[in-house]
Amino acid sequence: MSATVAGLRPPPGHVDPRGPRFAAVATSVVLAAVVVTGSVWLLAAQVALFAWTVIVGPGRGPWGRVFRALVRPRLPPPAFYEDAAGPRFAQLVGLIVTGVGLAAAVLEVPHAVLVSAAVALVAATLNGAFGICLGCWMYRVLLRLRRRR
Amino acid sequence: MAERLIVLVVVLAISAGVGLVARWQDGRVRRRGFAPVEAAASSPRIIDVASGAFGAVVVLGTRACITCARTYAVLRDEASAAGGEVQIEHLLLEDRPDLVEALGVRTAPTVVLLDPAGRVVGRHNGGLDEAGARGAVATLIGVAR
Repeated sequence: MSATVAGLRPPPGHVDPRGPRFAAVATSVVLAAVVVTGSVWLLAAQVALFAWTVIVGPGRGPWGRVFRALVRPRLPPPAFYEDAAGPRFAQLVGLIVTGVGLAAAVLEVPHAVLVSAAVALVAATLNGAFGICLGCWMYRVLLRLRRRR
Repeated sequence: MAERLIVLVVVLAISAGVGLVARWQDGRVRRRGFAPVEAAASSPRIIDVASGAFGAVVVLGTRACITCARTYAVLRDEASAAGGEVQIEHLLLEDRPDLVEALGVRTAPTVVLLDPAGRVVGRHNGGLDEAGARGAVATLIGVAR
């Protein structure tokens, strides 16, 4: 028997935790393609995807919509809903890492695309494969530091 | 192209290594089990244990903590499977900052076991899987009987 939460819709400000993990897997595929091809345009597309998700939140971002439409209907209800703030912050970290890489690539800094995509890929695969969200961990650390002040 | 593929393999190997080490360490925390705590009259009041319950397992977590919510869900399952006589609660440390100092909480989640009088009788720092949750519930039932 598995614990389930009442209702199918997550409460405001919360997401099905499997959604961000699905997004991390999809992001890993895109970033792996960036590493292999070295395409600035593909990196720019990923930067746009990160920015979109940061603005509207992980539940309503592009991968969140795909998850809701195609994946979630095939899954049982989640055992719990997750505060969306952590995954959103993680997307912001991804946006900063790939955004800096994109800016550096535009300024013709050597290996900028490869390095930024590789760094983001480590974080995305850790989340997708192991459920370890480095951005969420950073968010918790920052919250703790802010509370101490 | 070959160089880029090598970079990809190295990146994936780093991720796999970090992920496996993190899982292994998580397992080590779980294997430590519950440290028994001498029930002291001076234990801080955490919750009122429901009348008739064998005790309570309280997950002390934070809003952004995924492992805390997962631990709570697993504990709820195991308590229900064991007959529902152990109370399971999830407290947010943001709402109960007094517990951070009183219990010396350094990890989210920290799981504490309370006897029927509400005194702390066991403690575990970190998340719990099914086996750990079963152990927590069984510990309380054992203490009560």
